[in-house]
Amino acid sequence: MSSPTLNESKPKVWRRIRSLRTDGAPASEGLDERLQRLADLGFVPNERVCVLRRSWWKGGALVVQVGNATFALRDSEAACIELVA
Amino acid sequence: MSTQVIHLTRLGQRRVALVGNPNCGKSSLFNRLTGSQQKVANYAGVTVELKSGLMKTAQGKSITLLDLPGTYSLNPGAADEAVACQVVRGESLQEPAPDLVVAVLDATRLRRSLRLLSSLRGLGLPLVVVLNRVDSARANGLQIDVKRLEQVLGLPLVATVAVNAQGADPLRAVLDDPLVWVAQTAPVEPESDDMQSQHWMLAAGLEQDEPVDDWSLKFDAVLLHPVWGSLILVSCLFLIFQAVFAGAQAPMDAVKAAVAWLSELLAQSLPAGLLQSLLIDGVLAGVGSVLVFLPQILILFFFILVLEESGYLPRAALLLDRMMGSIGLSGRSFIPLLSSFACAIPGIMATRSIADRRDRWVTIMIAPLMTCSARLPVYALLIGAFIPAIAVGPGFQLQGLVLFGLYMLGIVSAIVVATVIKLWRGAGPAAQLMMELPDYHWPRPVDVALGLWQRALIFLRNVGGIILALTVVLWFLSSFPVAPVGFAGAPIEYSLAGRLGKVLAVVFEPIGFNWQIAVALIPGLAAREVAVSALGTVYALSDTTSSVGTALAPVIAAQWSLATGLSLLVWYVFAPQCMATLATVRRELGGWRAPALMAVYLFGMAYAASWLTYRTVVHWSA
Repeated sequence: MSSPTLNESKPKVWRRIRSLRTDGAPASEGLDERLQRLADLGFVPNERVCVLRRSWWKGGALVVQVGNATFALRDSEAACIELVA
Repeated sequence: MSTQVIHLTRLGQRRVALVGNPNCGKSSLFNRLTGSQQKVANYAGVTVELKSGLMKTAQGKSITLLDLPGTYSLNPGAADEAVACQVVRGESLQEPAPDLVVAVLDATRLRRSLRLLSSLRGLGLPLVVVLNRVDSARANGLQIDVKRLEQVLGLPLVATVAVNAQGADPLRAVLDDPLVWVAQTAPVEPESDDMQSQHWMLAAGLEQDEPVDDWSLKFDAVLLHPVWGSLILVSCLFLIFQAVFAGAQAPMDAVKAAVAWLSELLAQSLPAGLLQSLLIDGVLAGVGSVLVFLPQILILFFFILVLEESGYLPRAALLLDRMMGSIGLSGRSFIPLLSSFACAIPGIMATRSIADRRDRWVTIMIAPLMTCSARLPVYALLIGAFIPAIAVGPGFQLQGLVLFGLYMLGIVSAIVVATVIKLWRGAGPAAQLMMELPDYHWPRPVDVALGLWQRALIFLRNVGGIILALTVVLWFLSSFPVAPVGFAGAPIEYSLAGRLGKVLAVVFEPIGFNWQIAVALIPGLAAREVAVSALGTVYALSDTTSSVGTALAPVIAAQWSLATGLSLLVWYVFAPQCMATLATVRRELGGWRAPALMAVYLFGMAYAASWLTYRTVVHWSA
């Protein structure tokens, strides 16, 4: 049973980050860099996150609040972020 | 006495680098500290992002201050962050390592600011910590005990409010302390930067979650809305283009009047002859006809700077991400492409923030199709001469609409080119987005004014240097050899430029260009706006009766057909009449293949589109 990920999270609900996912996510080129980059931007364990807005299109970008900062993420990027259940 | 001088010089060479997260208020702090005493590395230089300036400490000592691109960590994600990391690590080939690093912390985003600080400690350079935006943090309900934080960090720390006039004074004072210039060898605990950051926050009594900026959330509810947000974005862009034409009229008339007055003065005070001709027909007619467009260029830059400072640009990029995705790009390409509306060179350099190689290549290839400000002089001249100044509905000028149409033609062509590349080479996997949407804030007039001042200087330096030189060369080619007495046509037809133009006119005849245009296009290869000054010179010398001076528009309106005027307008949408752009592409992508490909495809499109325009208008008006 895997933990919920940010891309599946309901909008406007605050959650906490459990970890950045290294397993389960489709192994693609540059995955490690992507995880490193997410951590650098502030997607670190125990930080608060909230999906502010979803795109009207399937697979479109998400607007995500992490701590006090707002980022636009792709669905595939948000899928790397595991939440505390 | 001599020791004092050496002492001062040595101090003046002390170099301090400002390092911080993007949007931490670092650039405002830099503007506050250096005032107008700053220089932007020029377009031709290494990097447009690297600013340096002189600042004075509280005791009046001079220090060189470097403003580095914002970075989230010392693991650079894209090329622009790499610049910052290289400089602080002393790995940059262009800039020596700084003597001291000022780490700028954003008081409203302490956790991630402290993460960067933690990795900066490992560099072994003297560190001074600046806690910026303490006022915003307090307004959001976050109390920070500055003394306690300083003790916890074990580094000199000052609180600043870059927005206030005296807000940066604590930093000026602390740099007078000789102790801060000595690197501290504090034991660095072997734990991750994030652990370190959390320890610091806990020890400083800041363990609670950081409050969120409500205003930005409320604005985003509307501005990021798929319908309302897109409508606002389009209206914004449209208003800018209207303002560029309507708002610039008065200052443009003033510049024109000043040049005409100077030209009259010279005509009266100098004896008729070569010197008078050089100054009036060469220098004034040439430089004057370009200088006229300074107000329009400044208005366009004003809007771009305001949008940039307010934090709106990344939102616009997000709104367009889906659209850009359909042509094989991402929202990240929007900001470089928007910068290209001012000038393709900073736009192409801004592609360094695109991590994906394919996306970067395509963005660079279509950047010259965005209408840069150097085209404005050409467009303004031709629209003024060939499009009647009539109103079409309330608030809409036909001239403004045509200008908008030319911008749209560039954008649509870029979409077509990107789609062709996508179909031909494949789109590749979706590039990473991970783009910060910073808090909205009012652009500070000082920052906008400084940005405009730098743009104006760069433009005037071009007018004073390249354009003046080419204008004089063209005047020389257009004046010699001198036509013999009794020569039937205008003297310029006998000159070198006239003969060259007539040869080239054979190539350009199918698209409706006469030999004067062909002559002007040659120096116009150096930069687009040069073509206007070149036309000014060519026509000033073609006229056998009196000096044309700066009134170029009525002359071409009388001498060219509408088809020729429109054909030249369309030519300028596509033609890569800018050596500097091609040189920048070569430097950014390495090798001549990319710039050669760019030149061929753009000239090809220009010729085809002009031919189509010319033939259509000729057919339609016949």
